Amino acid sequence: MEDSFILNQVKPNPIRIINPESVWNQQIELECGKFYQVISPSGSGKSTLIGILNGYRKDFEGEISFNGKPLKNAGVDEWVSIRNQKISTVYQDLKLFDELTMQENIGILDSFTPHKTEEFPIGEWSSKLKIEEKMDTKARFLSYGQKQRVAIIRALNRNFRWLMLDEPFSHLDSENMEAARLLITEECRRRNAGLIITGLDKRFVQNDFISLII
Amino acid sequence: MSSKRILHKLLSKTQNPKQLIGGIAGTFIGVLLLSLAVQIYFEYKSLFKEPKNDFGKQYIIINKKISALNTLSGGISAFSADDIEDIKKLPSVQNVGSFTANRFNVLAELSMGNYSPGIRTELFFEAVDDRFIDNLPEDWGWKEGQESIPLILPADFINLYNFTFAPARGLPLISPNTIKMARFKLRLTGGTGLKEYSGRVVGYSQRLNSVLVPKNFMDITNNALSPTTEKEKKGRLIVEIDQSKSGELYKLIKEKNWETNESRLMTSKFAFLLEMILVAVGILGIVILFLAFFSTILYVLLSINKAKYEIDTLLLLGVPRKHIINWYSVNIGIIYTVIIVTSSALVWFIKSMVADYLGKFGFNITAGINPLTIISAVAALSVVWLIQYLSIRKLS
Repeated sequence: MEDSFILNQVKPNPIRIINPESVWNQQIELECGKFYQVISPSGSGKSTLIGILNGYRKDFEGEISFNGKPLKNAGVDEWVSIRNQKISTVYQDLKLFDELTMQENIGILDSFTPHKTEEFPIGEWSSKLKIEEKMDTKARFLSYGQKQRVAIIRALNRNFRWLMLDEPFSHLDSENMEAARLLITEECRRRNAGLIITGLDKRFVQNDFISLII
Repeated sequence: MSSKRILHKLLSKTQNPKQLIGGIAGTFIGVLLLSLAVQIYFEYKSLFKEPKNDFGKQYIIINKKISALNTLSGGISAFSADDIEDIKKLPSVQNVGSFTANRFNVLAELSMGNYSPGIRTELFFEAVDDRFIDNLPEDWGWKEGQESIPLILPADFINLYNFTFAPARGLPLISPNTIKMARFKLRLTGGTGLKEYSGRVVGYSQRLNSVLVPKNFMDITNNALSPTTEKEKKGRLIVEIDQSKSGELYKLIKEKNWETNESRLMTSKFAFLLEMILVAVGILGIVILFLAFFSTILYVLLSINKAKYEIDTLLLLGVPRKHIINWYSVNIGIIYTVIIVTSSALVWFIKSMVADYLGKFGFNITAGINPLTIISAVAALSVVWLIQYLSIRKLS
């Protein structure tokens, strides 16, 4: 299928024990447009999967392909171009720039690519996540929970076929968590994009989420 | 916000200007030394060197020793046909020519306007085949009936005048070009009559220590003013040899007890030494340049490493790598451009100071920088920049 990932016998290297139900060492297709939640009973390996799907973890065996194209040996530039056009990710450590304001962090792509932030409803999103008054604050002065919400808005502020979030709600209260979950699923449905999310609280798992066990 | 400003905001906080200054200073000194060496090399070539086609050739002037016997007999010891044949037989010898002296009296007069008595002096001429003359001027040569005679003076002549004669007499110093503008009246008198010409200096010879006139003028005038049936005496010879094999000729000169222009050979040894010093300075410049290059490249790699989080994050967000590579390369390029402009300006400044100073002693140094000086600085820094660009590319 278009813009789908296929993992063929992928397993991190080295890996100690493989859970028989795990995604490792199997042939798995991650279909664009579907929602996945990553479940890790052992509590590890979630970020490894996000890293492999984003092309910055190379320490694995097996094959990975995207949109029918094998990517095991893809170079930096090829991965950058895929990230640029197809994948938007909220990393576990958020990867915000402390010296830039919230607004500059959200609009970072405007400076380097033809992307235009004004075409996206940043104001609406930030009021939904109750962070609109922090627009001109440097990221270094934000709390971790506020930073998480900035990172989510930055991830939405671009075109993508996949949205990946690595423990995005860890520092949000339940009210903000629900607002963020709603916003994320809404945006992915509207854009018909795939969603991969890790560390999701069981209360928020909906029926339409496919589980990926690590 | 432009990509440059964002990058500046993100990447420049990882810079340490103090470390950078060391690299820039080293690069500047390296480029300056290299430029100076190249510039001085070309200046020196145009001042002292023989024309290009003489490369590897050497000209040696030989005469027989003058002894008390000559003083008594009143004649010079001329080279015999056998002597010349001996020289020609040497494999290193490419050509042998002889000097022809005047057999008439020469009186030169330089008028200094109506109110001054002018300068009047007796002169002597020599002539030699054009092929032996270095720096042959364009307006050299003479046709029968031509009233103006071109002269070539020894380059030392002006130095002799400027350094000894003029200061002693309180006369003004003369530059080589000033003399070229003067017109002399030449009165040539011999057994059969008198001829008047106007003379003008058209050039200077480093090689030949004589007042030279065109050969055909000398032959025709000698015959017209003092005809003789005697065979022409060859008192001084000029020998063109292969520089690398001059040893055989010196052996012969020693055997036959002749004399050479040994001091000229000293000059050429000095010129060789100067050339070596310039090459050494040039190499030193390049070595310093490359040391400085390593210090700048280490600095750049270090600051890329310090900015690892920012660079990795930009790449993870999908920012094309070229923006980051360009930011570093363009900034280094700007620094290098400034270095080339400043060092060229400094070379130009030093050169005009030196030209002013040497001009007083009769050296005629043209203004401006040799384009090759700038080209060599640009080429050296381009190579350095390219290597840096490639290593930045590899790293990020």
